[in-house]
Amino acid sequence: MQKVTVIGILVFAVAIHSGAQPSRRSNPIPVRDSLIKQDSVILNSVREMATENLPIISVDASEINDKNFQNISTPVTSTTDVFLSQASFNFNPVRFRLRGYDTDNSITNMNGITIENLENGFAFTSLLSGFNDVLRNREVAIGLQNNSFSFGGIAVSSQIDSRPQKFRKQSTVSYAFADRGYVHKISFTHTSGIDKKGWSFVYSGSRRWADEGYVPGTYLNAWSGLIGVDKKIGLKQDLSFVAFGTIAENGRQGFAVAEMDSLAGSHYYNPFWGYQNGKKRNANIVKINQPYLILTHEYRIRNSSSFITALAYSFGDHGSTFLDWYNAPDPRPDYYRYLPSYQTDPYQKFLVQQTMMHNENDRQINWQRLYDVNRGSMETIQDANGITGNSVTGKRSHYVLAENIAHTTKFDINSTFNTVAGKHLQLSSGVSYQFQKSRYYKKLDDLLGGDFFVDLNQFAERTFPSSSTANQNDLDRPNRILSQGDQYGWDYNIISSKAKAWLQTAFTFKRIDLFFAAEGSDTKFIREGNVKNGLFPGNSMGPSPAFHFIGYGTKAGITYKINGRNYVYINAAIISKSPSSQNVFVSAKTRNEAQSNLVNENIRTAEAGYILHAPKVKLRLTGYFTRFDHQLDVINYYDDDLLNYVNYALSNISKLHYGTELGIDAKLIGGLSLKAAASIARYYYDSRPTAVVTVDNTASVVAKDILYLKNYFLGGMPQQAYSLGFQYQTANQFYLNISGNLFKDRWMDINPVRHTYRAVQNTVYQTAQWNDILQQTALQDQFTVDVSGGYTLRISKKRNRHKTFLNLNGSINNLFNNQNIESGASEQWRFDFSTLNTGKFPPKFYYYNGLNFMFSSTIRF
Amino acid sequence: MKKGLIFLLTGFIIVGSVLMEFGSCKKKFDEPPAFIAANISANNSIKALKALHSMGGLEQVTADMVISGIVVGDDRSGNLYKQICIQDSTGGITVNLGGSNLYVDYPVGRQVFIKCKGLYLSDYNRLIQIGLIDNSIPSSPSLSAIPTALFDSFLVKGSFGNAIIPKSVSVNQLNDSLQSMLIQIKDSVQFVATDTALSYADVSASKSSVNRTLSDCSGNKIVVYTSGYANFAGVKTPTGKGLITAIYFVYKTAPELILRDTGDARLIYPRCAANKITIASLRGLYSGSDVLLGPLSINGIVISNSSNLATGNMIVQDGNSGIDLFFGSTTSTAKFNPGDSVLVDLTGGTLTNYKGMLEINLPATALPAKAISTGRSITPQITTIAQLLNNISSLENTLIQINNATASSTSGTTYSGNKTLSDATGSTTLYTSPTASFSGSTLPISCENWVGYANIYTTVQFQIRNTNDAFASTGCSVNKNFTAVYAFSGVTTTSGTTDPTKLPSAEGVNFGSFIAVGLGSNSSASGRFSFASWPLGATNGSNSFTGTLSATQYYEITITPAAGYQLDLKSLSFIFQRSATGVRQWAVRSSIDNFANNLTASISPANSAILANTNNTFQIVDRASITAETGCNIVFGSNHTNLTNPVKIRFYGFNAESTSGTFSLNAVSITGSTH
Repeated sequence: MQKVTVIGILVFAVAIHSGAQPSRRSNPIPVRDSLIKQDSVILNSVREMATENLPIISVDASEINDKNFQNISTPVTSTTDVFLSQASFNFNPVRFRLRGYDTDNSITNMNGITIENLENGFAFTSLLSGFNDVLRNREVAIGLQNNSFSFGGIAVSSQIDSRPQKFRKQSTVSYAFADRGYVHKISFTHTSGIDKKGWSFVYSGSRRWADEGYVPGTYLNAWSGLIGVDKKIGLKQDLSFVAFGTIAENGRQGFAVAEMDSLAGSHYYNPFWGYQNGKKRNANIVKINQPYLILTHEYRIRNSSSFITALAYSFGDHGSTFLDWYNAPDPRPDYYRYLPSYQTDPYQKFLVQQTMMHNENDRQINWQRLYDVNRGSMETIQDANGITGNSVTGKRSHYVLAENIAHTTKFDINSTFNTVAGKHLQLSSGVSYQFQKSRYYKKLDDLLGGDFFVDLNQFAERTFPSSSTANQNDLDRPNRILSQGDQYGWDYNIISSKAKAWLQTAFTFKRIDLFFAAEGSDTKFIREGNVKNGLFPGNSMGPSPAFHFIGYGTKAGITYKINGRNYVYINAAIISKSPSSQNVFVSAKTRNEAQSNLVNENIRTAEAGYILHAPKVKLRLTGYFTRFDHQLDVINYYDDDLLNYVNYALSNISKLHYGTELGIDAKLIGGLSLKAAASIARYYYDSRPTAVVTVDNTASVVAKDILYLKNYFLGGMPQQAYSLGFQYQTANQFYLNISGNLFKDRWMDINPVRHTYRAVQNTVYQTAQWNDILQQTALQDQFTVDVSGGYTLRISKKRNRHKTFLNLNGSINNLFNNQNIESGASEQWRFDFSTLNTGKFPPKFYYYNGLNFMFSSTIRF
Repeated sequence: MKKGLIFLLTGFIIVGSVLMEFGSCKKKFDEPPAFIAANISANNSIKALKALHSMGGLEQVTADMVISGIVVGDDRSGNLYKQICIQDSTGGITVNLGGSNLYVDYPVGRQVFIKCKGLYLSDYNRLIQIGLIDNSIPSSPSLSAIPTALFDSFLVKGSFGNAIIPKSVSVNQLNDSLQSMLIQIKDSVQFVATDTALSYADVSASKSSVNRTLSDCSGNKIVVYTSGYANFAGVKTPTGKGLITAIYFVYKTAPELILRDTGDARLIYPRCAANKITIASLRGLYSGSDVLLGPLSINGIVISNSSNLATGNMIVQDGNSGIDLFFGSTTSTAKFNPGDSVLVDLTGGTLTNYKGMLEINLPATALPAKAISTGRSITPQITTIAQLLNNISSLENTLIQINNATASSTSGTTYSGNKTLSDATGSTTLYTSPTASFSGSTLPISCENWVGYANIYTTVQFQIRNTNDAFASTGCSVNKNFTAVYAFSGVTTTSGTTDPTKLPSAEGVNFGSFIAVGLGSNSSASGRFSFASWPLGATNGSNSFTGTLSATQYYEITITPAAGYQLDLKSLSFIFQRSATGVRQWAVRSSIDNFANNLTASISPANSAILANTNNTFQIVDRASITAETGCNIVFGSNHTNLTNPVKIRFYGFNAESTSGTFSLNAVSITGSTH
């Protein structure tokens, strides 16, 4: 025991736990075994470790279309579903999402609480990385399957049970070495099991770091931890408390145009870093620190009824840094005007090309120059801080490092009731209330050699040169002198609340299972400005009008059990989903203005499938059809032609998703088995949305466009993905898996603005120029091969009746080093209306890593 | 339980310390070292570099020339765009650099080295520049800016904060060798009057650049050129004089100055003292076409009332000459009153002729802020209207006095508008503007003395300043001439002895009707006054007369001067007619001498049928004539002037040939005047 404590103090490790119970689709009562069996399918766990290790690529969202661009959430989608378990790992290089749905269609619950950002519906999945061992206990429902803890999203709904009582006594120490998102990871988990008095504890922690990841200039520094305490109260009640969080800092990789990649000679060119004092310094760093505290109470009324109530409180910051500047040349090395393609003279083009090709420093941020400029600009600010006659003299920074901060406080309460009534009926219901207050503001992180910065809006100065108020970000404190750590620019709160109630009845008969479910929700949110913006003095400070939406949904399904192994099922749902605040406020950074035409999103979806669950073969074949209507979206980006921030408020977006997915896991002879997965689908736009374009500086409507988007494909994931692999496994000791993956039918994310009358009115129908503007670029098909293997060694010490194991695992992905896989490819938002030349703002890409590996060793005892 | 607690405690400590450690462990990046100047030095001068260029050409620098200069002009204010100007001791050159906000890297005062090999020299309308060639249109290569990515290939940054002393030159010494250098005009300069207090450039949407002209006190001029994109484009040019610092540019053959910002033009001192000139000399400068005035000023006394003039006008007099000053139709001159002494700077004004009157067009800024002194008086020159009309060019816009003149109006009873002013010598227009403060006052109709000034507005007009300018006159004798005609149209053969015809009327005099005394009871004809029974004394066919007039047989009228008037009778004429045996002689006598003597008689126009005798009797020569004879004329003597009592005039006929012979009067016309 002492040794265990010593080990626990010295080393953190993650225990590779078994325990992921297959979700028994036909049994709505959640599976909560108190004894967790050892997982014989080690591959899954290894893959989990590998997938949560994939690089966290969050790029400057203003540059690209894909709003689903967030930190990868693979631990959450880990499941034993025969299709998804393969797809979520094998298809990850091309950012596969189940059925092409946006991420806000998935639900992630932990210990009875939904972990999600009320403002956009995304799960805070980055919070759940780093301690996957204790997250193994889950109920997962795929597609329209019913579950016991919620009405469900239409993609993946999962509930993680990390309450300490669920784990048996075990400790795990692990070390992994990789070249992906992290280079080193050490982790430690200890679960105590339930002692005689009914107490159980768990703690798990890890440290992941990489001084430089696969892509130059990226790095990771992350600490994660979870602690939990659980007390059984009598026979019927449990009270658990779990606290977890991740503190991480991650230097990011940026999208780049093909021209920069070819100048750099690599698809992994990263414009976000530069040398400072000989060390790589990344200007775009994501920092997260958002602990969650969940208190869960379970009351087992009878053996067949349970009442779970959970309370959660979360607080913390999410920040991302970026270079900010005032009246100075753009510091970004890949700014389009610095590139050879912008120069008109062929010799100049050549000179620039040669310079950039042969000097790495010319392709990266020149930090020395930023410091030199700041140190050399001695300036006097008149009427500083709004005091007439007060002049401040000093080195005025023209370049600073700023941070975009979201400070979030969240409070949730959720009650779920499950009971069995009679032989056939299972009743589930729940009510929940969520409250979230996020404060968004810009913070001055680093003055880069200057003495002060001034809180002014240079874009407003360009539009209103003679006004002394339009350029103030804060009219109550004009010309504010800023020091390191000060807030400046925007400062506003989004306060949201959502009350939900749902009810589900599930009937189990001999041959037929059927269920009905319904849900209603009441969502409210407001924006509250904390500063009075000089451009919108009447509309920026103080609360906006309250937005109030009612949402609802109904779902039903029927499963016909042909026999104990074969099932066919059909499910359908109609859902009316409230808009999220991120798609309602046109320019939340500056003012309270909202989109007009605020309506709920309509989802109509149906799926039908066949499941085979035999000892040797597991198979699932599902066809689905889903229609989204009346979606809203708001995009803000900096338009180089207008020299201004521009807001696009889109409404009436419709999307159609239909296709089939197939997963097969078939045991062949000996220890050999065949694994295959396929997703063949079509995802495309099915309406002509309306776009209202406003210039941020004036809120004037620049254009009202109809977007001719019908039948254009949704970009960002393959419409066809195939995986075929073979696995060889000896009993609990050794396994080897090799699989090949093929991605086809991949399309670049389009810029909807090109599909307007405004964009093509000056070109001739169906000429080469017309086609160039409108055609959606198809990406090349890609092929990868992955290998993984592992070995388990039993080190029996005959203590605690449990054996001590040593696991060695490794995986090599992208065996053939295919460096051409575009993980993200999208047309830029900027489009040159005057020359109609799509080459002026070419598409931006980022690429999946070439050959990458991970090796780990774990001791479980 | 104990185990559990220990585990939990351990866990808390570990997790907690980890979190704390991470929280305090914020990696702070080492600050890079301060700027270290590169080890490079110039091997050529800017002058040598520019010598490689011939105007209009595009030459590549092929030699390994390195020049160095201090930045004297950057794009901080936006007046320069995609350019910086550098200079060394030999000269300056403009460098074309791509991108905006170049000043953060190359601010004024920074030393810059340029490795010229591979760069191109050209000129923009003779302003020499260095940059790169743009061959995108091969038929017309041009000079383009060096792209940002190549800055460090050609430019090497040096130290900050180097001082530059602007070169002091006078306007006449400006020449091409100073191109792109920082200069200061040796003499103080000021913006010409028409370019002061106007924005440096165009701030409307088109943001065009504007030239503003500077002048030194000797009149040498140089242009300041400002771009509409400069952040000081909307600032108004200073009105004073002082030293100007700027970068010297050329545009074709015209030199121009480029300001870095408004601090370069500290024109805060009083403007050039303009030379004083008399108004008389000033008026003499005009010789038929507009004259642009140099630095001149006049000192005059205001004689006009601003409310009686169109806005912007003011009339000043100096000595015996006056002139109208026009400061623009929106500039009010109301702050000046007659009697104010003002000093006006005429520099840049235009001496012109407006509708016949000499005036000087000046900018609004030339209106003096206040009078030097007030209450100055000018003695008006007394003149008659006839003299005024003859000498208008020398009397124009000076203070004059017209005595004994009367105003009359054909419309309205107030001053407003055009009225007629008449004196004994003639008449002219009295004009009062409807905006004048006294335009609503009643126009005096009596004879007064008038003070004011006259000028030409197409025709001559006279204006006063206020109602006190028209005051009572003692010598006012404005005669009201009259011509009274008795037409006898109402006389019939039954109308009796009194002529019933409507009496003539004239101002200041009342006329009585003709009566026939001692003669018949009715006229023998209608339309004329014809009675018989005159004294006999003539025989038909003979020219010897034996009779005399009868004191009891006559025609008589009474003429009475009206109250307050005096009557002057001048002359009287009538048409004579007789019947065949009518009177052969007749005479006219007046009550002034109690009908003692005949009034002076004459025949005018000449009529051979009648004559006037030396004893002032009329006589019919042609004994046979019975037709109406014109020409009988009486001239009243000086005893018929200034009459205040009624006067009777009697017409005596005598030496008739028979008692039934008639003597008739017609068209008796009396001329005279009242006053």
